[in-house]
Amino acid sequence: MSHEEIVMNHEEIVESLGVYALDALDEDEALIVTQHLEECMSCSLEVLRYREVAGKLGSSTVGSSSALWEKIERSLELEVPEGIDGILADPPKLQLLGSDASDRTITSKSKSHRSRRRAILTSVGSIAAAVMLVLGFEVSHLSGQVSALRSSTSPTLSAVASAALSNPSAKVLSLRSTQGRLLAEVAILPSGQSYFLGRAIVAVNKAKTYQLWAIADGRVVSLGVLGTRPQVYSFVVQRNVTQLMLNIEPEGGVTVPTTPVIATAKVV
Amino acid sequence: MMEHWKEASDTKLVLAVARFEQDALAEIYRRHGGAMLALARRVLNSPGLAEEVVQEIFIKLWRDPTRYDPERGSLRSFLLAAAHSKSVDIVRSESARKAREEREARLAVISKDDVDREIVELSNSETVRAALNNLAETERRPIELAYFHGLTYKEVSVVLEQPEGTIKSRIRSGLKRLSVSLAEVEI
Repeated sequence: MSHEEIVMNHEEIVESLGVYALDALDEDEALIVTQHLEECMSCSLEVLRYREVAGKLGSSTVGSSSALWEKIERSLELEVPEGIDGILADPPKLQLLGSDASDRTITSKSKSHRSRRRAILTSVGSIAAAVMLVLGFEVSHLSGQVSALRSSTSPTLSAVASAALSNPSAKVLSLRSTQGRLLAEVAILPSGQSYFLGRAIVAVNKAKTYQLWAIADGRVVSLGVLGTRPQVYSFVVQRNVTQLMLNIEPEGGVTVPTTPVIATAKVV
Repeated sequence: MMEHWKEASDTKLVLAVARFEQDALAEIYRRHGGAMLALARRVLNSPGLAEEVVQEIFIKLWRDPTRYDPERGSLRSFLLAAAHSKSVDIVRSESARKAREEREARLAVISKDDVDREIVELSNSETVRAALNNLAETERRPIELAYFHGLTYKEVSVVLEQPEGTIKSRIRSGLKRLSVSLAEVEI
């Protein structure tokens, strides 16, 4: 039976919440409850409460296996943070906008990923908290409100983005520096589908990357890591986004802004 | 390096994972990996598959730590829910036909004694055991069968020979009662 054939009223859904929290609903029913939870705060909270209970029931004295951790660790060595490979594959010729190549070690692809991650961590350093206070934003690095950003230099995407810019129903934003310099334009279509077009953006060194951020419901969320010289990117802007911001972060990007914003644009 | 993280909160560890700190992930594994493994083993009845489940969840957490939202509960609950959900998926998947058959065979021999024994093994807290034991059997058994055996409520209704609606209600009321009695338990 497909889920379209199942109808559950609120009372039936409420009665199913305990079973849902234990993963004991049938798939079709679980789908209906999942959709309902996105809209119903009281049911959502009830499920969270039951999941905490299940977590306590499921806790065990069985010790963790060091052999399993070693397997996991080996798998992690194969993982590459999003954006890093692209940066390494396309080394920029210039580094401007305050980037300081002289005091940074260019990461080579031959280094282990773990070392690269350590380099990123070192770069992030302790300034994050201070920057947060200066910005005065409630930063939610864990928010997944904004969809994944896709980047490309393909002519097709460029053409689509250019068409979006001239689309009369699109909202066109200018990301400008504090001195008023136009660094990029963003076209937001009524559907939320958006395109970033770099203008007077110069490349940063490969130890850094541009990163696009949004303010949504008072929180700062990452829209994506743009690489060393952003050109054309497509992404989706949710309706609650009120401002876009651009800054430069360590390669691979970060989950909360650690450096000052270099360009902003208000969405509403 | 691990020592550095031993005092850190779970949320702080996830933030560090988001910054690609592998030692933070190792500390999360040290804290919660064993419980995840035990739960997955119990549901799957297969140490090998259980290890795969835990490995997959840790790799997912490494790739995308934003999946965990501290405002929506503890990290332990999040990880155990992920381990449970994945284990149940495997148990119920068509591709795991053999596992299903084994599980069905197991289903046929589930007895009250089995359930009592597994609760003793799986619950690391006297308080958790006491809370479970304080539930009426009509509430406790459906919860145990659904959670530790990965049965759907419909399967539970077959095993216990009770109407499906009754099973749903009893699982919910049992969880409500446990929620109150376990409110202060820190694991």
